[in-house]
Amino acid sequence: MRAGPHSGPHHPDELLKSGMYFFFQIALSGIATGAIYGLIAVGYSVTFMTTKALNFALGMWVMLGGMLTYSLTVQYHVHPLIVLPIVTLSLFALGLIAERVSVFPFLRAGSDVWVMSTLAVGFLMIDVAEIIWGRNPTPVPPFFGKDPIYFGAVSILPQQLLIIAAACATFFGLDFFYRRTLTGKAFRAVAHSGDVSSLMGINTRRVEATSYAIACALAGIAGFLVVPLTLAEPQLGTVLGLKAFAIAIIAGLAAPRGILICGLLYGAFEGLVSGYLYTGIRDILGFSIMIIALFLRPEGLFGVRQEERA
Amino acid sequence: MRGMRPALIALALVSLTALPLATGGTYYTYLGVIIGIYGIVAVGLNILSGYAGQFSLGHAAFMAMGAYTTALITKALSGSPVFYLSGAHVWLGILCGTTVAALSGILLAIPALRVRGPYLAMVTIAFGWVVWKILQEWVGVTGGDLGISSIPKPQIGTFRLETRHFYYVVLVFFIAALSLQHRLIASRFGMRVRAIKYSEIAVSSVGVDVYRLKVVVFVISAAFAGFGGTLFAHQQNYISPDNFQFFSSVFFLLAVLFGGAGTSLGPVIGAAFLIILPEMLHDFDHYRLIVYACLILITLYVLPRGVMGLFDLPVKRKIDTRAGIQPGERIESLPPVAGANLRVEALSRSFGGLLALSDVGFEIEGGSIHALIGPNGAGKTTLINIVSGVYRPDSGRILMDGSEVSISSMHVAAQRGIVRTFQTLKLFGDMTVIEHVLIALPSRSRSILYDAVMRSRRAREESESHLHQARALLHLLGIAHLEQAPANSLAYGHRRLLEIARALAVRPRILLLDEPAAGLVAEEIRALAAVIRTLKQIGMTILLVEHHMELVLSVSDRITVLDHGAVIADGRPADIRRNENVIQAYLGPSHAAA
Amino acid sequence: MPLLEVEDLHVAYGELEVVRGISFAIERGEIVTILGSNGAGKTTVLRSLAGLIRPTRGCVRLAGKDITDLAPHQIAQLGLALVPEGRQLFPEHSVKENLELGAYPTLSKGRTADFDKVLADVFELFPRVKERLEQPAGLLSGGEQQMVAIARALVSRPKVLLLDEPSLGLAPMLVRAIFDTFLKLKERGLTILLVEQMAWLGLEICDHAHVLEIGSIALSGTGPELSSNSRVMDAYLGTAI
Repeated sequence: MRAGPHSGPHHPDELLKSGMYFFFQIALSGIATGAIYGLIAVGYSVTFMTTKALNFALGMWVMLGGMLTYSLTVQYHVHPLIVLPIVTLSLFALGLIAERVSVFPFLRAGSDVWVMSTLAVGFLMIDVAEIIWGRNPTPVPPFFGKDPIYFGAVSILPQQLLIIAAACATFFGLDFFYRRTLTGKAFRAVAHSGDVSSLMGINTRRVEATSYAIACALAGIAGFLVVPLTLAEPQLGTVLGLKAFAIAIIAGLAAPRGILICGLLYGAFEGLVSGYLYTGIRDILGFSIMIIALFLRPEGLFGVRQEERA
Repeated sequence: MRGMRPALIALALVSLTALPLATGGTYYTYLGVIIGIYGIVAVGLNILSGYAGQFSLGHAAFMAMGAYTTALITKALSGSPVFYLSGAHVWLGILCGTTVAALSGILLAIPALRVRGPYLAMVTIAFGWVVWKILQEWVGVTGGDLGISSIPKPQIGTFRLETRHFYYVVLVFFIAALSLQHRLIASRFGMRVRAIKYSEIAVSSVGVDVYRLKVVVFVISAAFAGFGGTLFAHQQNYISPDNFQFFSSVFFLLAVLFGGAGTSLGPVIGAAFLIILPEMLHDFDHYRLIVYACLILITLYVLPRGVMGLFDLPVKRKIDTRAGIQPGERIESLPPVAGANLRVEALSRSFGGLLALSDVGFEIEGGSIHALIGPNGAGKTTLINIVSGVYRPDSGRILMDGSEVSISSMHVAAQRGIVRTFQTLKLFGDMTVIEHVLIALPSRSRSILYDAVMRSRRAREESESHLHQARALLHLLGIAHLEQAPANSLAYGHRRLLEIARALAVRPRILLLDEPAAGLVAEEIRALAAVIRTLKQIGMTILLVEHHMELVLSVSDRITVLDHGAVIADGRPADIRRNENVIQAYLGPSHAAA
Repeated sequence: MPLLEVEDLHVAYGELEVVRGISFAIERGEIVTILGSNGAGKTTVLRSLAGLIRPTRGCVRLAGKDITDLAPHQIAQLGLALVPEGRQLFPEHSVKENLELGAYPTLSKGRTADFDKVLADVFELFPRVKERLEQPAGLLSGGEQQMVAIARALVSRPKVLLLDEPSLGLAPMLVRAIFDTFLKLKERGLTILLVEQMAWLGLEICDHAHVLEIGSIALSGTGPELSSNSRVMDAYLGTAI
């Protein structure tokens, strides 16, 4: 993410003038970014819970979602609301294929080599994206105009509002799926115990593959939402994916609700750091916090400590 | 094959020495230097990822630490005449760079090694990214995206080492790195490192602080990478953040996996191949990632054990026969043990609301064989896990020889003389039988790492004596003839005995046997009983958790019976067998009981 | 034709052979008990029948159909339901959700009417389960959990019910109540394969029993025959020395 979603460092006088408003302003736009992080981070959690594997290249899937959005909206002038389901479904389908090729063959072997194979798929995606779209960053216009919407003195861009709304809707949709539908309940059952779930007549293999594809689709949605704020380029997702992982670790991979909260807070934190300090130090601080949090609570802030079995 | 080894090594040395002369061109010499440098980094990563099984995808960061440190130091010092004339600034820079990389390794390892497997890999990615970002952002020091240029060439006195000279320096360092790897891995330190990959819990059960060991390995690995980084800086004379991207870290891990993780030469072959390949594929520069991606997938699908795995001919040595057990030989070679008295008082432990142990207390007399029995779910495993330090009790005390002991973890338990075996065997994969025992033997020296590297006379003497002790133990258990067999080639019965041999190597005062007879046939169980009796003869205290009642009745001095997490009977074997509570607990409430 | 036939079943974990060639058959409507001390291989037999471990040799037939190589979810859909050892409910799911998951194959095809009917049957057997419907299963007492676990298996309308140590960790009173339910289920025509450590309990309610020792059937007979056989006790408490 070369150009952050925030405006650059402000002039000191401006800071003094705006005071509290400035604080809310940057916190709010930070939260919009945080919603993106949360969305991707939940994707890690979705695959982790059923397969104990992770897509190490989830950021590249964000990129793919963003680039597809760029192509469809800018090059083919398709309405964003039609683009969204196209992106979601195609990434879901590609996710199924990627799982079959890069995760499933190595999952049962009991080793962690799928770390490398999922990365390999990500590398492929970057180069293919460069071949299709080139390396040059291209702007994507916001879906609903550039005029900020004002709430009193605090303003928000329509795209940011869309991100927060869409991310929350996706998250609650996912939550509804997991808690209210029979299939979702079966997914949670597989997360608890694959063996026992299969005794219920649940095809656990299918659940595992679908979980992986859901994570890819979530990443695609995140790419769709974020690309107007950044630029469309093959490197778009790399750092996003990494940050989302940091958030998932801080919150605890098995705690999707905690992940969303952490994502939003982390976004606000980033906004404030780049607003008051400077953008360059933002990610350095963020990752350092992750490493420290890991030391203090390896199971995550919202995670449950697991007793090691002899 | 084995006899040809010295000849092969000599041939390799001669051809490596002659390479710059033969090819003439500086280009090939330059490639050789780069392969040597990357080879050193890959060897370091191999120790961590190949042998110890801990994936790191952040090694480019350690390389960067080394490179930037030496670049800054040498540039700052090169103006001074003392250094300018002696050339010492470069070597000082290399030393400092390696040290800084090792120190940052500590800084990362301490938090990062609290998590395992893929999470560790992800954290190292994040670390690598942070370092890369700092290199870009801290323009005042690192030069930002532009990097640092005109880094001094290494010199000896005033003689500047050009690439064709530096080649030989790197060659020497490269061979030194390989031999250091060899020394580490062949030593007892290295055995412990390799064992981590198979079962961390079993390594800690013999008294090794696994977390600390992993941190040490991580730091060694980081130092290799840092050292490689310093050489890289002086070879290139120019470094920038681009050299140390995430992709470089992937490069090193791929080199290790492609060449053969956990083989001595694999990482070198991998590094050489990965450097030469793109040189041959000039036209594909734009598709570099695709090439690497395919290479990763091909490696994982076709060469799961790397290139070196292809040469490792599958001669599965099935030496074992079930009839080889001759227990009780050479008892005199085992020195007596002061078996401790063990008392547990009011132990309670619950798991998520379910009470697994409630107010359990009993005493095991020093030097006796004490059995703990009870139906499924009675709490036996929980008890053995508490005494061996796997779980902490919610309440209650553990006393050894009358004084309370705190057992905070498995390695602490082992250090206090309480050592266990595992119901589900936890052996170290393809490591040999004797290595299992050598790992566990206590050492008189303070640092087995120092011994491994220095090979002092004292250390060599100690390793002689270790070999003797290990063989004596294998004799006792009747598996001495299997000394060189990989554990995963053993018959099941022999594996059980090996577990016990490993535990005995720690010289426990109290030995906890967790269902040692599980899966054994009658004849093997008789042999096991003989071993247990022998251990009692030399004074060891034994707690036996077992379902096989014939074994329990024939060896035990006393039996404690647990049911529903509480003690329901405690007494001599003959009484226990007639105890009404015990019969009910096992066979269920019945009218037929009368 | 017997409902469930097991022929020369061998099961191994790696190189450790736990079940060493056992054969038995269960007729429709029978209760058959497998006895044996811990480590005799009882649980392994059940797990391999349910498809959780693939046998190394031998054959399992359910109503004449070979199910040896099927995946566990396929076996479950054919009407073989296992109540695993230690109950193994989904602790964060409510009792109702646990039951829904038990009927997953029918419910996912949208046959909710079937489910309501079978649920009513189950509540009749276990009124306590109905009271607890909305609670997370992990918060129930051990006895209640066992009832839910059995109910969860019953809602799939199985042909054969496999029970692994249903008495485990329960107080004697509760065990008695649960075993009475098995007799009621038998009256309704259900076929049951029971694995039980508590020999006399298992013998009391069964038509046939087999005693497993180190992976082989050491002794077979009817309940009363085995109750009076002293070898049963020896299998548990060892021969006096």
